[in-house]
Amino acid sequence: MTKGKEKSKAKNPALKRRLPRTFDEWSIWMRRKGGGFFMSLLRYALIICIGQIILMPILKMISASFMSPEEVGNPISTWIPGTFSIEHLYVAFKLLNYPKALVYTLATTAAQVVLQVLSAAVTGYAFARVRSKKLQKLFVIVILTIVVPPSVLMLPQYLFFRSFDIFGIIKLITGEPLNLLGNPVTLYLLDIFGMGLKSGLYIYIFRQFFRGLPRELEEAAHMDGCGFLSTLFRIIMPNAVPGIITVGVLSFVWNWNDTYYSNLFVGNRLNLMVRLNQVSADMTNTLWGINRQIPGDFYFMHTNQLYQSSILTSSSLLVVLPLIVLFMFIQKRFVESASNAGIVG
Amino acid sequence: MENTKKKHKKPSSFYRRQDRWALIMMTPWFLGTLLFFLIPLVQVCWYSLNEITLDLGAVNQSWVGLANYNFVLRTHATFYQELITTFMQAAPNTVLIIFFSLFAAVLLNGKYKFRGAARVLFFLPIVLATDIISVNLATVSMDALEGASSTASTADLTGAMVIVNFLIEGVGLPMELISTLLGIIANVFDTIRLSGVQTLIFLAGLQSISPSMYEVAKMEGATAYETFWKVTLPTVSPLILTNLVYTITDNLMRTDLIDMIRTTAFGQAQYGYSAAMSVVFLVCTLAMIGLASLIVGKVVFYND
Repeated sequence: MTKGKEKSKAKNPALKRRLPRTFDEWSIWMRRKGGGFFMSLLRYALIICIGQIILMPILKMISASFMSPEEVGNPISTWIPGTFSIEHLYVAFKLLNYPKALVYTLATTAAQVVLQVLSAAVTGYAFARVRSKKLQKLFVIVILTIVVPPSVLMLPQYLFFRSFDIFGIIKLITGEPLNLLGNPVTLYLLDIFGMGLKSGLYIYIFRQFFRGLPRELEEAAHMDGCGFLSTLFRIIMPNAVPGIITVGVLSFVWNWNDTYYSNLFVGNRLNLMVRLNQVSADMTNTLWGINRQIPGDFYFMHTNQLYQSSILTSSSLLVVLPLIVLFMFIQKRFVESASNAGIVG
Repeated sequence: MENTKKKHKKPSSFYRRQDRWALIMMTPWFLGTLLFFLIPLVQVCWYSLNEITLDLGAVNQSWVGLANYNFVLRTHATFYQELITTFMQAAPNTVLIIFFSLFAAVLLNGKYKFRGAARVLFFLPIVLATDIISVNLATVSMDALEGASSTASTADLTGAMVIVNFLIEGVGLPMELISTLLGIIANVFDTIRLSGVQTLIFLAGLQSISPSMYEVAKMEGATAYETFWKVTLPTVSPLILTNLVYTITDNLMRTDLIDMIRTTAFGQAQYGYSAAMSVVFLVCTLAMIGLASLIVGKVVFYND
C-alpha cells in the first residue's frame, strides 16, 4: 500500500517538478532519493558532535595530568604534552593519600550499595505486590521522599545523630546518648531504612520493575509448595537481575560522588570526595602540608594558580578513575538492563 | 475432601499471606520514613518557629512565632535574591534538559553501527555527575579556551561576532532572542552533563514501544514526521512527567541555596533561621513541581 501511494505521487508531474515544500513532501522526497543515507549521516554527525562535547573535558583532564609543571599554559602544547611527566599525578596521589583512601571509599561505598539495593528491592517488591489499598496508598510517601530535597531535613537529622538514642536504651547503659557523627554507621542506618541518598528513587524503580513481572510466577511457586521467602530468593531475585544492576550502578555512582551526606554526617578525610573538597577549598595549605613527601623541584610553584589547578585536575582524575573503570566493565549490562527493563517497567 | 477444600481456598490464602509478608517487608522502610523523614519534617517546621540554641546534648527552644521567617525573607541580605535566582535558573534549565534528553534518546534509538559505543558515550555523564569534578572540568575547558585564545580562537571569536552581528542587523532578530540563544549555547555543557539519567529513561520508553505500532503507522502511510508526533511522542509522554520531577529535584539538590542553609546552621549557629530557610525552600520546591506537573499533566497521554 505504501509503495502504491509513493508510486502515484512519483507519477504526479506537479510533485516531480517543483521542490518539496512541506515537511511531509520533504520526507517523501528524502525517502525516494536515498534519504536514509543522509539521515544516518546526520545522526552520526550529531552523535559525534555531542560526544565530543562530553569527551573533551575528560581528555583535557588526562592531558593536563600528564603534562610537566613548566609546560602548563604553554600554547604550543595544549593537548599533547611535549614531555610526559607524572609530577602532577604524584602530588595528587600523595595529597589524597590515595591507596588508603581508595580502599576506604570503595569499602564504604560498596557497603552502602548492598544495603541500599537490598532495602529498596524488598520495599519495592512489597509495594508492587501488596493488595490492600491502604498500604498501596503509602506509596505517596515514597514519592514525597523523592520530591523533598534532603537538605530540608539536614538540621533534625543532624541533631538526631548527634544524640542518637533508641527509646532511651543507650542512655540507660552508658549514661549519655551516643554521638554517631563522624561514623559511617549513620549512612548505613539511613540506607537500611530506605532513607539514604535517592533511596526513594530506587524503591520507585524496583516497584515499577516488579510490577512488570507476572504474578503467575509466584502463584506457580506457591502451587508447587514454595514458601514465601524461598519464592522471593529463588524465583523473584534471579529474575530481578536487570533491576538490581540498574539500581546498583546508580547507587554506586551517586554514593561515590556524594558530598552532601558524607560531609554532613561523616566528614572522614579518607573519603575521596570529602578529601577532594577540602583540597580544593584550601590548595596552598594542603600542598604545604605534604611538602616533605614530594620531591622538592616545584616548591616555588606551590602558590602558582596554574600549578594548583593542574594538581586539582589530576586529583579529580584520580577520584573518578575507579568510576570510569567500573563503567567500562559494566556498561553493556547496565545500558541493556536499564533501557530494557529497569526504569519504565 | 480436605484437599479440595484447600485448593478452593488457595488463591485467597495465598494473597493474604502475600499481604502479610508485604507488610513485614515494608516495616523497616516505614520505620525509617517515620524516624528520618516524617518526624524531621515536623521538627524542621517546629524549629523554624523557635529560637534554637544547642547546649551539650540538649536543644533549647524558645517560641518566637514567625520572627525567623520575617528575618529570613525581609532582613537577610542575600537569601531572597538567592531564592529567586535559584528558581529562575532551574525553570529554563529543566526545560532545556527535557528537550535535550528526548532529542538524545531519539538519536540513540534505532539500529545503526556503533550503537553500543554511542550509548556508552551518552551515559558517561551519569558516571561523572559530580559537582567538584564538573567545576574542575568547566575551568579546564575555560583554560583550554584561554590557552588557545592567543592564536586560533580570536579568529573564531570574531567569526562568532560577525554571525551575531549579521543575525541582529541583517536578519533583524531581536537582541533578547540572540542573547537567550547565546545563553543556551554557553550552558550546553551543563545541559548535556545533567541529562544522562533522563536520556536513559526516555530511551527505555522508546524501546518499550512495540514495533507493530510503527508498522501500522507505516501501513497507513504516515511519514516519519507524523509517526514521531502521533506515535512516539504520545507513548513517551508519561515519562516526560517522570523526567520533569526528577530533573527539578536533581537541579535543586545542587544549588548555592543549600550551602547557605548549611552555613547558617553549622557555621553561624543560627539554627532557627536555617530551619526557616529550609521550610521556604521546601514550599517553593513543592510549588514548582506541582505547577510543572499541572502544566505537563494536561498534555500527557496515558495508554491504559
